[in-house]
Amino acid sequence: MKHALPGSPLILALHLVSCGEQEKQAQPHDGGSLKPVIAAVNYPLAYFAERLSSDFATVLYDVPTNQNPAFWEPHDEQITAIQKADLILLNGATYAKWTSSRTLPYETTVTTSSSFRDRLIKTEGTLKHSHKKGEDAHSHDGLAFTTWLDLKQASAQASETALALGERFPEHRGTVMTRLDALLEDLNNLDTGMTAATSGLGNAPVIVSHPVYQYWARAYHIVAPSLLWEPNMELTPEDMAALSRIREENPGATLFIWEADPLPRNIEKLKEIGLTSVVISPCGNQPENGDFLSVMRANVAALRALSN
Amino acid sequence: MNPGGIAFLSWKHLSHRPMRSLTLVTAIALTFFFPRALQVFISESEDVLQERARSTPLLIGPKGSSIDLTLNSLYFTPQQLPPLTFATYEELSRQRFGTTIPMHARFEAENAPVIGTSLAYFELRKLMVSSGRMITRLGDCVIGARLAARKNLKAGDTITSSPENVFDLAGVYPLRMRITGVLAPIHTADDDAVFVDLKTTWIIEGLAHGHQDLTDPGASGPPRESGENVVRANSSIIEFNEVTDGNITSFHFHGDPGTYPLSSAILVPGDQKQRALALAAHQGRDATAQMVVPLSAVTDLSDTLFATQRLALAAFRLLGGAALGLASLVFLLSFRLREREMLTYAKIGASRILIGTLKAVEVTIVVISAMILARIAVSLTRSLASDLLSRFLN
Amino acid sequence: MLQVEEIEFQYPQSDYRLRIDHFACQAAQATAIVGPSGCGKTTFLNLAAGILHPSRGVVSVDGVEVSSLGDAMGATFRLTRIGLIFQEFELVEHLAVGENILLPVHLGLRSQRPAIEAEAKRLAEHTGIAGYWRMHPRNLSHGERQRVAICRALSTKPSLVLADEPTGNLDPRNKRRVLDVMINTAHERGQCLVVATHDVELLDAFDAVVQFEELNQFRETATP
Repeated sequence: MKHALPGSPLILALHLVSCGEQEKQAQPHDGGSLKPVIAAVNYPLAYFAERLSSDFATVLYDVPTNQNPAFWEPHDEQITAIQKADLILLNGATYAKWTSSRTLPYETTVTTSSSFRDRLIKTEGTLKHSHKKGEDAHSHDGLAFTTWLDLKQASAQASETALALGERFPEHRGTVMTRLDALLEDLNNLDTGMTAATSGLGNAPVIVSHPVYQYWARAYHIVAPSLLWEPNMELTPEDMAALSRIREENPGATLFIWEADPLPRNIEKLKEIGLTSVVISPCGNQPENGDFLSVMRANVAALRALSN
Repeated sequence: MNPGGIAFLSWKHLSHRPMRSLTLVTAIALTFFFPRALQVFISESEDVLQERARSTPLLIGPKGSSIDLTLNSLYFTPQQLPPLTFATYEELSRQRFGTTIPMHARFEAENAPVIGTSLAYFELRKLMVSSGRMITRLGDCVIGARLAARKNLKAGDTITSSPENVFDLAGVYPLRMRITGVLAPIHTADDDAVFVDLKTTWIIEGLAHGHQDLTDPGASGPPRESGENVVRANSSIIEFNEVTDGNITSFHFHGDPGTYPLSSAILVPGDQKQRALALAAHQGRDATAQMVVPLSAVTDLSDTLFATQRLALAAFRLLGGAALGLASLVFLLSFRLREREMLTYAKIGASRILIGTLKAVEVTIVVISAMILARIAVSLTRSLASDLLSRFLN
Repeated sequence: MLQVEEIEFQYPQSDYRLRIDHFACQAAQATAIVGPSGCGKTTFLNLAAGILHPSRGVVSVDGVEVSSLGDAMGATFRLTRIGLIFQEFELVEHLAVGENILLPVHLGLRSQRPAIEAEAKRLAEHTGIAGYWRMHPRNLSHGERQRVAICRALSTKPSLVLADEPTGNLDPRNKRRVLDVMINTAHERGQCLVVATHDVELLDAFDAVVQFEELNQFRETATP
C-alpha cells in the first residue's frame, strides 16, 4: 500500500511503519507524534500536497500504480482511512468515479478545480440511452477530467490546494504560501515550455490515443482527435481502419500521442503510415521513475524535440 | 395498645386476600401516579427537547410550521413538508457560516426512520459506532442501538426501505441496505433510526439507480433510430435494488443535483458572530426557505404542552378524587363485613380506640403502599421519559 | 372470683329482661349454669364479662366492678383477667390456629408473649390440636375449632373463665377431655370457671350446678 511520494523518504518510512494499522488518520496537528493526513484522489494532487505540506502533514494516496485513479475502486477500509483524513483533495470534473458512490465528509473535502468549473469541457458520450418509453435519451459520459494537463489549470489546482491547507492548518499558512510560490514557479515554467513546444508543431492536428488530452489541446491550441488505444495493445485491422477514418476527417496529422511507451511494433506500424509516435504522459498516477515535475518536463522535451 | 400487634393484625388481613389488596393498592397508586407522572414526563420531556434543540443551533428548512420542521429534523417525526433543494444546502455551505449538515428524513425502513445525512451529523450528535464500522458507500447504513436490539440486527445484516405506497409502482422503491455498524446507545431519537449517506436516500427517491449494462443486447431493444447510437431500455431491464461490490459502478444520478431534495439542513456556527451573520442573512430573504432556531420552536411547543398539562392534571385530579372515593367505599364496606370480627376483638379485650386504630392502620398500610408504588412508578417514568418521548414523537 | 349482686338487664327494643339477685363463683371453682337454649345464659355471661352493662346492680371480678368500667378499662380488664369461650367460637378466619390462640398477645399482652405462648402450646398438646398450629380455621372440623377457642381463652391464665357451650360440638371422648382440661386448669390455677351448658351428661364434673331459670328472677319472659 503506497501512501507517500518518492523524494520524501522520511514520510515513506513513516507510512511503511504505520502500514497495517486500522486507525491512523485524523490525528491532532499540534506538534504531537501523529501528523495530519491529506488524502488525494490522483497523483498530481498528491504531488502538490506533498510539495506544500510535507513538513507537517502526511499525504494519503492509495491507488496502485497499475490502476487508473479515475476508475480506481477503493475498498471499505481505504474509504474509512480517507474519511478520517484532515483534508481530502478532489480533482473535480467527475474525475474519481468512486467519489460519487462513496461517503466522504463534506467539510474536509475540497474540489481543486472549483475556480474554473465553468470552463470544464463536456464530453458527448457515444452511446445515449433512455430507461423507458417517452423518456429523453441521455448519456452518462460527463466531463473531461484530466484538468492538470492544462498547466495553468494545474496552477489553479495547486493554489486551491494551498488555500485549503492554509485554512485547515492556519498555523502553517505562511510555510504553505511560501512553498506555493515555488510550486507555481515550476508550473509556470512548465506552461511556458509547453506553449513553446506546442507552438512549434504548427497547426496540424495531432491524433491522440486516448480521450484525455482535451484540456491540453484547448490550452495549447491543438486539434486532437481521439482514439481509444492502449500503449501495449496489438493493433488490429479494425484499429487501423479507425485510425484511417480519423486521418481522413483530420488531414495533415503527422503525430500520434501515446499515454505511455507503446509496443515498438506499434511505433513501426504508425511510422509506416507516416505517423510519428510521441509519449505525452498524463501522469494521473505515480510514475515508476521521477515525479510529476520530471514527467511534465519530459513531455515538454519530447514535444520540443519534435518541433525542432 | 400494642402497635406491633395492630400492625400484625392489619397485615394479616391484607395479605389474606392478596389480589383484593393489590387491586386496591394499585388503584390508589394510579390516582397518585398519573398526575405526577404527567408532570414528570412533561418536565423531563421539556429538558430532553431543549437539550436536543440546544445541540442543534440552527435549522434551515422549507417555509411552513417551524415546530413541524424542528420535530422532523430533531425527532424524525413524519411531517408533510415540501422539500428543500440541495442547491440551497450548497449555497449555505458556500456562505461559510459554520458546519452545514444536510438532512433527508422522509423515508422509513421497517418502521424506522431512514435519515440521509453526512458524516458531520455523527460528530454533532456524538454518535459512535459500537460494533462494525461507519458507512463508506451508497447503500450502506448504520443503525441506532435500540433499533438493533428491537429487530435483532447487527453489522453484516440488511434492512430494506419501505415503499411509500404499495400501489405507486413508479415511485420510491425498496432498497436493501447493508448494515455496516451499530451505534452506541445515546438515549435520543437517534437510537431508533437508520442512518445513510444522503445520496442513498436519493436512490430510494428514484433520482439515482443502478442497472444492467444497456449495451448488453439482452437488456434492451434494438436502437430506436438508425444512424444514432440510442438504446431504449425496455421493461426487461433489471434495476438493482441493492448496492453491491459488483454493481456499485453502475449506480448513477440523473438530472441536476441542485434540484435534489432534502428535508432540512443543520447549521452549526463556529462562533456567535457566524450565528448572528447567518440569522441576519436569512431574515425574510428566501420565499421558499426559513431559518429556525430549534430552541425557540421547542419553547413554543413546551408552552403548548404546559397548557395541555394543566388541563390534563385537572382531569386527573377529578378522576383521582372519584377513585379515592371508590376506595373509601371499598374500605367502608370491608369494615362493615368484618363487624363480627371486630366484635370478637372487642369481646376478647380490644377497646373502641384500638379497633379504630386497627382500621386506620389497615387503611394507612394500603395508602402508604400505594404511595410507594406510585413513587417507584414515577421514578421509572423519569428514567424512561426520554425514551418514551422518542417513541411518542415517532 | 365472680360476684353478681342484684343486677337487672334488658335489651333495647326487646321484652327480654334479666334480674339476678345474687350469684357467686369462687376461685378454683367450676360452676355449670344449665338452662334451655335461649334462656339468657349468653346474656348472663356477657354481663359477667363486662361486655354488657346491667341497668342496675354490680358485677365484680376479683373485687373490681366490671359493670362500671369504661370501654377502654373494661377491655383491658377482660384481656388480662377474663378468658372467653364463645358459643360460635368466633375464630378469626384469616389468622392461623396459633395466631388465633395468641390473639390476646396481639391485642395488648405482647409483654407476656413468652409465658402465654408456652401455656398455649401446652394446652394445644393437651387438647390434641398442637399439629394444627399453622393451619387456618377453615381447614379444621367443628370440634377442632372449638378446641382452638378454648385454648385461646385459657392461654392468658385468666382468673375468670366464661365458657358458652364449650363442648357443644365435640364427640363424647373429646367433650370429657376438654372439660377435664378446663376444670383441672381452673382448680390448679385457682380460676373461677363458669360454663353455660345444656349438656347434662357432664354436670357431674362440676363443683356446682345452677339452674338458670331459677337464677333469673324474670324467667317468665325468658327469651332474649
